[in-house]
Order: sequence, then C-alpha cells, then structure tokens
Amino acid sequence: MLEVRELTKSFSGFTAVNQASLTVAEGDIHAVIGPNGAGKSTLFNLITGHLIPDSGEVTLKGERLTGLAPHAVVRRGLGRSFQRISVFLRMTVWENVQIALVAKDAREFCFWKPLQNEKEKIAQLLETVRLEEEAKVVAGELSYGKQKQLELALALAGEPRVLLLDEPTAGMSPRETEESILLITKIVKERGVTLLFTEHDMNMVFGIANRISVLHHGAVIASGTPDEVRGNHAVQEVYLGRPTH
Amino acid sequence: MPRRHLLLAAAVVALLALLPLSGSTYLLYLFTQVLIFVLFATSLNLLIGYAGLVSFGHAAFFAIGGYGCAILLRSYGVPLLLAMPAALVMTAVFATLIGALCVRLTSYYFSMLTLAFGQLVWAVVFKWRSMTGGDDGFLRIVSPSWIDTPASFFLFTLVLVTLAMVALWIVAHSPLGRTLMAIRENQVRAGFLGVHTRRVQLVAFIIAGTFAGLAGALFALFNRSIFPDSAWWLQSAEVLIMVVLGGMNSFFGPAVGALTLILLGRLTLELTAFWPALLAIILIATLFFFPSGIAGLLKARGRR
Repeated sequence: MLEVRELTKSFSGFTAVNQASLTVAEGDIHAVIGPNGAGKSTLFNLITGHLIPDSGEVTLKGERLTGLAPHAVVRRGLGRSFQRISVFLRMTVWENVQIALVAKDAREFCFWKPLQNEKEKIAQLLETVRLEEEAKVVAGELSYGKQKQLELALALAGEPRVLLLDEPTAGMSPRETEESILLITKIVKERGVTLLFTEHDMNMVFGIANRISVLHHGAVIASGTPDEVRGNHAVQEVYLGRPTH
Repeated sequence: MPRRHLLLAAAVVALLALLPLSGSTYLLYLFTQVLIFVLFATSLNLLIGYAGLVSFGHAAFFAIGGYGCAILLRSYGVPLLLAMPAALVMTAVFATLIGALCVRLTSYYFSMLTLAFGQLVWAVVFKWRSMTGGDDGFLRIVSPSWIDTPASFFLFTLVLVTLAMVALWIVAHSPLGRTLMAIRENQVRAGFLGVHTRRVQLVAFIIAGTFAGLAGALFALFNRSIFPDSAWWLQSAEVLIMVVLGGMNSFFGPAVGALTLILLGRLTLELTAFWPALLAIILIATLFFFPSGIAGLLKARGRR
C-alpha cells in the first residue's frame, strides 16, 4: 500500500534519515520506533511531503508521492496528525471539523455559496473521537488530551486510506495514553484504515502494532512482526545497550 | 449576531436611498464619497481580516479600475455600461498577475511585495503621459446624462456599492471565507487537510482587487478626474487606516472606519489645520486601547 524506498535527508551535514525503507501493507498497524533523535519525525515529514528528501521516493498504491505539495499528498489518500498539536486554536471544535470537511470535499474555492452546516457528518466525527460535548468550545481552551483528539478528528475527516500519527500519546498521562490507544485501535479497525505511527510508549507499540520498524541514527535496522523485532539482536543493543563483557 | 448586522445594514441602505429627498448637494457628495470608501475598505478587509494578508498596495487596483474605466470612456468612447465591466476585468487580470507573485511570500515579505507593486503601478501611471495624462491627471471624464446629477450619481453608487457589499458578504461567509481564516490561523495544518493554500489566497486577492477596482471606477466618475495619487502608497495607507480604525475582525468594521475617518476629516478640516496630527493620535489610541477597532468596541458594549 505505502512504499518508502531509500529515503535520505540531511540537514547541513547531519544525516537525519539515511536510506530508510519500509513497506506498509493494506490494513497494517505499523509502528516506527527508535530512541529520541532517531529521525522518526523527519521520516514522517518526508513521507507526507512536508520536507523534500535528498533522495529516495514514497509511493502510495504505486502512485509517486515524493515531490508533491502537502495538499496533493492528502488528496491521494494520506492523512496525518502532528506531534506538536496543530489545530485551529482560535476556532471552535465544530468549526475545526467543518473546515476539514470543506477541504475534503474540495469546496475551498467555492465563494458563491454559504458555508454548509453539515450537522450529521460533523457530529459523527466528533462522536468518533469523543468530543461531542466540546463542540462549541474554542480549540485553544481544550485540555491537551482533547486537543490531541481533535487533531485525530481533523486527520480522519479527509477519510484517508493511510493514516500517519506522529506520537499520538506524547505528553499524555498513563490513563489518557491507555484511553487513546483503545480509541485509535477501535477507529482504525472500524474504518479499515491502514495506520503508520511513531510512539515512544513500548506498551502501546507491542499492544496494538502488527508490524514494527526500528529506526536508529536515521536508518531502519529492523522491520517485522513484534516477536521478530523483540528477538532481534541489533534492536536489543540499541535499546538495552551493548553488553559490556 | 450577524443577522442583526444584516438587518441594520438593510435599514441603513433604505435610509440612504431617501437622502436625495434632503435636497442637499453637500450631503449627497459626502455620502457618495463615503460609499465608495466603504467598498474600498471592505474589499481590503477580505485580505487583512479574513486572510491575514496585510496588503500595502491595495490602491494599485483602485487606480487600475479608475483609470481603466476613465480611459475607455473618454479616450475610446466606450459606453459606460461596457467600460465599467471591462475595467473590472482588467483589474482582475492585473490582480491575478500581481497576486500570483505576492501570495508566494508570507507576512512582511508579502506586505513589502504588495507595496512594491503598488508603487510600480503608480510609476507607470505617472510616466505614461500620453495615455494617463501623467501628474496633470486624467481630466474631463463625462458620465452619461442619466447619472449626471448629484442625486442620480449618488443613487447609482448606492446601488452598485450595495450589490458589491452583498457579494463580499457572501464571499466572506462562504467555504472560501472560512478556508481563508483557517489558513490565517495555521497554514501548515490547512495544507495537510488538503487545501491548496496559495491558490485559495490568490482567489481572495483577485476578488479583493476587483472590488477595489469597482470603487476606483466610481471614484473617477465621481470626481470626473483621476490622478496618479490614487495609486500612491498613501492611498493604500489611508484605506488600511480605515480598516484598522473600524475593526478588521468584523465584516462591517471597515465600513464604520471609512465613515468615521471621512466624517472626522471633514469636521476637523473646517475647525483646525491639524487633521493629520489628530489622525495620528486617533490611530495610536485605537491601537493601544481598542485594537479591535470601533466595531470591537461596539461589540463589547453589546455584550455588557
């Protein structure tokens, strides 16, 4: 479904992502893990067109995404959330979702008609991410966890075939983390979305992913089922440190 | 809230339609000018208030519309009902070319580029004597007889400005208007929702420019002349002040700003020679004490 081939990206001499390749099959829940600074966010930004790679390419169902502007990547069926929350802070939750639906239906150039109030669609999305109570709240006034839920709603509004979530539980309390893991798993299964995500919480990763890729110094050092990755020596060295004897 | 504004606006239009009954030429001239600047300021606010794009060169389109209409009318003998739409098409074409370059940049760079293009338009108007009359101005513009009196021209302006304001209201409350606000809030996020952000901003730039062109065409007909000053950056600054003074967070704010600035200007000119100093003080007070402008102040009152 989503094919990442030998992506490389350097920032003034520092190679953040180095010949990274991975394959995400349809219906997969695929996690990208790695220590801090391993290049996870950069890899995501390369896949979604936010950054342009020095070399390598990304294809979605055989269609090349590399070199396309973000809006064009989204139109081809890829949705994303951001590690650092990125919603429309001065608009209400309702308006946030409304604008996402306008974009999804490519109605952003429509200037001769009033804005539609698609009550059912918006309410349904808010219900999916459990924000129905907060519809009229200004996004900037939501708690951190709820802003993350809104972030998810914005990514889902585009009805993506592949969803990329960058650290969906970053900054959450253990309870919030568990709740959002359950929520994300439920949504992904219900909607049949293919999921690629980065995560620092290993319980979450091994709890829901069926494929895991490990990133270290910008390179993919292992990729496989959770059991394969757990048993991989290189991964053990990265996470547990090299044996001293 | 917005519905109340619309009712109020409709009442104002109805009252204005009765103005010719007053028989006062002074009032008719004054309010014709106010109406033209209401449209000019509201068109600019589509960029500033809704899109968050601060243009310092909006007068360029005012001038293009004004000169375009005037030149077609006088130099080429095109009838008004054809010259005016043609001038608007011309303004839209220029807005497309200039806008396509300007929206590639953001924040200060966008503002500086609009300023540069504004000055470029001024320079062309100033130097192209054979076509525009240069700094002598383009004079003796003759309107057809049916809008030849102060009252008939006022009503003509009232009809066109009302229609244009309705159109701008629809744009501001359309999916495009909402998308502009989203881009203003968070351009990266809007892009990742699938919005072609630059193209949406360009469409807004063209719409704003074209309506400024309509205001310019009316202005040229009203004065029966037009001068290079109409493209000069001070003209852009004046309309920008109207927007800030009236309040850019509200659709009718700039209209209130245009009315206030013109009335205040008239009043003080009769009383004192210190209008520019007074204007500066008003502007400073606005920015410090009520940054949402007069409209923001009224809104806060209403809530209390």
